[in-house]
Amino acid sequence: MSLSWQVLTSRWMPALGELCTWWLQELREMAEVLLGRVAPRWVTRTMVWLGPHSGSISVVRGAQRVSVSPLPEDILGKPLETGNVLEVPKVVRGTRAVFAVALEYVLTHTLTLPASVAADLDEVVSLQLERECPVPLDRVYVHHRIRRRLAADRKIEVEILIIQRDRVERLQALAQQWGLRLVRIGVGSGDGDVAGNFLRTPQTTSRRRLSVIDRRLARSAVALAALFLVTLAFHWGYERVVVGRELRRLAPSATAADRLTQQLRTQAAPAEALAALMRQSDALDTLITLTEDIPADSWVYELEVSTQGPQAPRIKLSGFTPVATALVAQLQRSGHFDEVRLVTAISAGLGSGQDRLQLTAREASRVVASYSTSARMPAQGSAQP
Amino acid sequence: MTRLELILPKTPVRRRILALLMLAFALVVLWGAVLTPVAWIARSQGEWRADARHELARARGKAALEPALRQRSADLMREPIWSRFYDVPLGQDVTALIQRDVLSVAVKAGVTIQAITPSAAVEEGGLAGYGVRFGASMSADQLSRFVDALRSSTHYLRVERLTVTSPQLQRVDQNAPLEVTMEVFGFTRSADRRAGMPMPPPPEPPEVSS
Repeated sequence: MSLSWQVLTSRWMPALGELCTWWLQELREMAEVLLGRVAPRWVTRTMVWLGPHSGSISVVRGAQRVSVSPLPEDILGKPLETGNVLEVPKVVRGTRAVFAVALEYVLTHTLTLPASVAADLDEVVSLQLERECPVPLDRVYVHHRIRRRLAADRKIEVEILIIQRDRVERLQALAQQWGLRLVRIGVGSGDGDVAGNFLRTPQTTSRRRLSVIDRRLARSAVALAALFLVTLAFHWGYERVVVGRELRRLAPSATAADRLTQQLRTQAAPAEALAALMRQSDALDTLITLTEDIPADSWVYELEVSTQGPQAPRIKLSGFTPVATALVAQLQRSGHFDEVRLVTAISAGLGSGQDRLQLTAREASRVVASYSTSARMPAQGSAQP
Repeated sequence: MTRLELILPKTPVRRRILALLMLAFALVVLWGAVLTPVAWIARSQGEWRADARHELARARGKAALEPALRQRSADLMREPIWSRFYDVPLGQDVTALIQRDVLSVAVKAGVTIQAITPSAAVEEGGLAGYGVRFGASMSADQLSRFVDALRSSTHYLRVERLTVTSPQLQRVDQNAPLEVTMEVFGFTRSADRRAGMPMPPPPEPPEVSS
């Protein structure tokens, strides 16, 4: 486990770091190109080229480079005099500036080191330079970068760039006088590429690195996040356990209640069916209703009432009435019967003043509140033929 | 040779395409390996919680209802409606019991039943209905008393068919006799019938007179 962790940290992590750095750089450049088209002001940079024989100031917007002003010869070699400030165009004032000095102003050195020292490269380079650098280290700025990894030999090639401190300070003062925001001092190749950054000293780099407190804070944040996740998982799991326990506790009662409900439903079914049947009127109820609805001047001599279960009773009656259609209309108006049909209607005889009729009807759906045994008479009117 | 050393010699266009592909891949990985599982877990927990809440509420409701259901189950058999059914002792004919009740009602109303015959049994909604058909001659007053007596019978007797015929010519001072035919049904529980005796076939009408 520890071996694989070592392999991971010593071999894969630096390579992964380099890959990520390149990737982010590539994305940033693409974003700059895009921004150069959409919002060119946001990506405007001032590029100051300082050669031994000439110099220039140009404005870079994405891939576009516009030369705005030449510079006098060997500006780095001369001391910067107060009151003799070189004027620069207003267009570059306040922009981010990159100073590219010619290779002639810089000492270059290449070191081949074991790959295992890559993590402590700053210290190793400092120790090497203390022994090999011809100038005291407190009078120079140093930039180094891994130029190549020799995987077969497990070594790295480190390129070291050294510039005199007073030159960097002169450039910083110059940038301040011109009103530029100095972001980089590197070595220019003349074709626009800039290598290294002398402003990024080990001290400034260390500012970007995580301090012990930073690391502790980061670890604490990760630990808190992990604790939060563990707490959440525990909470969710515990919730399930508690709910499951409660459901198991309630299961016998709930099952018994289900069984009792089913049992009650089965047991009560006949009673409910009988109660429903008792609420429906039967032939006798229809007889009583008809007796109330038949007018006193009418007389029924034959009545047939039939019903079947919950169906509405049907009646068929024969009788005498003064006007057959009037009786039909009255039965319909009563609301107790519907589908009242007059089958036949003929005169009962000359001078009788009665019609002999036969009709059919159906009792309208209704519910009998209770089976009253009140003394209502059956279907027989008071009029006698 | 590291991955970076393989990439750097490529043309800028290819490097940018590669960087964009890596960006797309990173987004897909972030979406598929992080966001989707987290969202699924959160949604799953939410659904489980909703189901559990529902199930718990239902189980608690049922558990709370259990004593009342036990009480209701105990009270059910004491409901008065059960007395309206005909109990069927083993080996006894339900129709005979209905005939007995109808004859008893007729005696109370002072009516003479001329003929009584069983009719076909019916079964519906957990009920088994057994009917008798009879004819009688009675006055309107007797019919009224017969109806009252039938209604006050202990067991529920339902008149499914009724025919009343009276003479077309009657005297004003005479209460004319009515020819009444009824088909009356009494009911047992289907389970009683199955436990007791088989459904009787429509028998030959035994002549009964009282």
